Amino acid sequence: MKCECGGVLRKAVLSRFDFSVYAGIPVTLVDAPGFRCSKCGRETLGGALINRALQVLVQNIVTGPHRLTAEGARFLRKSMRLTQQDLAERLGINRITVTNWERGEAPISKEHDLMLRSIVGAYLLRVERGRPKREEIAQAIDRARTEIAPTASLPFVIADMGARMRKTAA
Amino acid sequence: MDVVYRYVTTGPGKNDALQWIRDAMHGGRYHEATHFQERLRLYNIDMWDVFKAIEEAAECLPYSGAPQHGGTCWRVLGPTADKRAVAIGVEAFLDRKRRRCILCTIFSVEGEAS
Repeated sequence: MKCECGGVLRKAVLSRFDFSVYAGIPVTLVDAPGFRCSKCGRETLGGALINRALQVLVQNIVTGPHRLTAEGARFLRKSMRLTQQDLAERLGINRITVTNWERGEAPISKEHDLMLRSIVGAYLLRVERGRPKREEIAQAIDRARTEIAPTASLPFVIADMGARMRKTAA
Repeated sequence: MDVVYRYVTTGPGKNDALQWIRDAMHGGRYHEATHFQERLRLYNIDMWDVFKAIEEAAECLPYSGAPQHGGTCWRVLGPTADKRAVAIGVEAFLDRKRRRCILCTIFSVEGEAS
């Protein structure tokens, strides 16, 4: 593969790669297999790894122990390719409420936190034949918890995932 | 004897370019140019926005980018998850019989996506 500078992108293990620009939340990948330009030294990732890292981030946030933060809620909404309006309609709330969560102007309620995670859980498992029933969503979340591969099995580690996120959630 | 030189590409034509790019993105058979990272920062766009723009693209038009991998270059116009209109510059090419693409750049598009 070629780099724009004229150099060649060679396979390399990237000791610390700032993934924030891809994810839209503060994330660093540690020891990620990627590419480094032989000439300018710039680093980049392959698509399979980008897709996998995004998927793992979604799973980590959905199954995380803390209340969703502004960044977490926004990340989950975008992972489902929904606009704020789309999400508000699915949750049966006003769009302004979603905007306020994402701006950090109002905390997400416990009920809406669970509903949002449930929708993502259902989305992940492709329960998309119309509106899934309540039991199906519950089963989907349970399955997601057990079936999702743990982060430790990845060839890289996701570090620094939202130090800010944990702080606000505490 | 006349010799006819033909320009042979290994990228898709207009009819299947968008599907080609979507398949490559979903299958993880893509990579991004280092310039693309700068564009993501510049326009404050993340990969979810790129996926959404490509999945819900309204247009996929050829553009005059210089293909680096012998493919064909496309400008994919679509909405982000925040309803902004963006155009993604993509080179689609065939490599070892697999449909791949490179995310090259993001073009500025004014206004809200319809």
